[in-house]
Amino acid sequence: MHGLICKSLEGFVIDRHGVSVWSEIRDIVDLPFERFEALHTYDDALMTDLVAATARRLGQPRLSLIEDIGHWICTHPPLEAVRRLIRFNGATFVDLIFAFEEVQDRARIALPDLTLPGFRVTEDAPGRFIVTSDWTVAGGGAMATGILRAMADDYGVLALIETVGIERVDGGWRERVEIRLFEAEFQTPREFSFGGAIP
Amino acid sequence: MSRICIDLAVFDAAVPFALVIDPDGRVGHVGPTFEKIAPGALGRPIAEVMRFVRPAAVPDQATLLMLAGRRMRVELLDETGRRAGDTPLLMRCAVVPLADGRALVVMSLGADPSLALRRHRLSAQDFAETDSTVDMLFLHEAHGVVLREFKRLGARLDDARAAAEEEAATDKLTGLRNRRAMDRLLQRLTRQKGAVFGLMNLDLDFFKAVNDTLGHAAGDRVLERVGVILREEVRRGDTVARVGGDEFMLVFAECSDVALLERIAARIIARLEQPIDWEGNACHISGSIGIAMSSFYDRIDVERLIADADEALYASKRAGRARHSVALPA
Repeated sequence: MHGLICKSLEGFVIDRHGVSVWSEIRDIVDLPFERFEALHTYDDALMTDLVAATARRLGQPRLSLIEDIGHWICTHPPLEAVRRLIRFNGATFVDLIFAFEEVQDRARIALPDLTLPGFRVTEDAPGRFIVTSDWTVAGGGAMATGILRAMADDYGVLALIETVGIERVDGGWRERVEIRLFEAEFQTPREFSFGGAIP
Repeated sequence: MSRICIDLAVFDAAVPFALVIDPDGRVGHVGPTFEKIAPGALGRPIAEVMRFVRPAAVPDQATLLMLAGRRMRVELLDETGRRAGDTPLLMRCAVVPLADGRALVVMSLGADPSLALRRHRLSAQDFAETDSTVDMLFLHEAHGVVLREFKRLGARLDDARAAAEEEAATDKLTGLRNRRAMDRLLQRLTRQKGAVFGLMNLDLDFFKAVNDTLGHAAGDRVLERVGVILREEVRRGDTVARVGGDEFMLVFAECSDVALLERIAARIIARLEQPIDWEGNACHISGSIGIAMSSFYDRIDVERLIADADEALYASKRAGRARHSVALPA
């Protein structure tokens, strides 16, 4: 698991619940260091244990914790760079939904070590999309749900987004996210211009 | 099919950052992105709209068509958002002759599009759907994020290295223990009830003269040699530390034999007095030593032992240097 993903859990817990809760959770799983390093790669099992311990400590189901983290990485002001990188994936919210199919390619060209879930997108009926995630660990779909919820607000659309299924497939995890898009122009989108991040 | 006729709106979506120049050399059509960056070009002669930097040419219709196929660099003369003193944007452009004598001038941002993006607040709508500039910009920002992480990692490694150096127990020059390591050992001996040990303080004599006459490199060579001598003269399990520029402290574990320490002190001084070669120069030094024995005290107070060893050291210095003295508790 790439350090950037591990670090998002750490950052979320510290930002929302404080350093002392993070240090309790570290103790539960015997994490041998204080902070994750964003450019290292960690064992998948370590991250799975950490997610389970965090969910228990916060009294929250695992998938809902991961959804919250997905939402947080798009809306936490110091992580504006992440929101911007996601906005690059589509000029409209519908473009963004379909861009999930390109996520692995995007990740590979930016950071070759960053392995993300594989996504497939279908439009079952007008305004109803299913994003299917396949990953070695659970949470790929839930993360997409959180990100899409945050980005729906960013693009100014009115949509209902739910993680609707999780199952084991070929030793990995398949999750389905349902998006029902009600209004494409519901409120003013947040500002996004290409030069915005350049100092 | 030798000719394709498309709607102007389709053309604008496909090539948004472009001009069409009529046969009379005036701008006949302006693409939406061009209009956003430098409005009001329509109907004006091309020479009033842009300056050709490479190749330097005064663009009329005839020269423009001759430049077809070359990669050119131009400046837009009426760029919005460009204040007095701002550098004009240098853009790439290519000329494509159209069948009816008109010329299509296709523009693109240069190797570093950041200034154009910032100045003109460009977004996805300003680029054609198929334009890979957008992907390049994604990569540019992703690269920025990764670089920032690398910088943070570098800073953390620097801190960790500084902390490790702070914690280090070894004197870099001589390879002996340093003052911090000696302090830790003495604290341990203080806590340990009934510890039996000998303490030796050594100051080099005439070391300053070596430094002053031959320089610090010679001084360093002498200190290295002193380190070797001290390590060779102590027993396994004893501790030798360089605690100051030319000050050393030796702790002899489990030792109550003052005669042994006096023999060792005499040997150390004798060996220090052998000339040390530095680039063909002979460096002459000696040493003064003070010895304190824990077995001489009813109650062991490490602070007092150190002070008494120091006192004995100064007695050696006062008596003419190059000798050792033993502290006897009053």
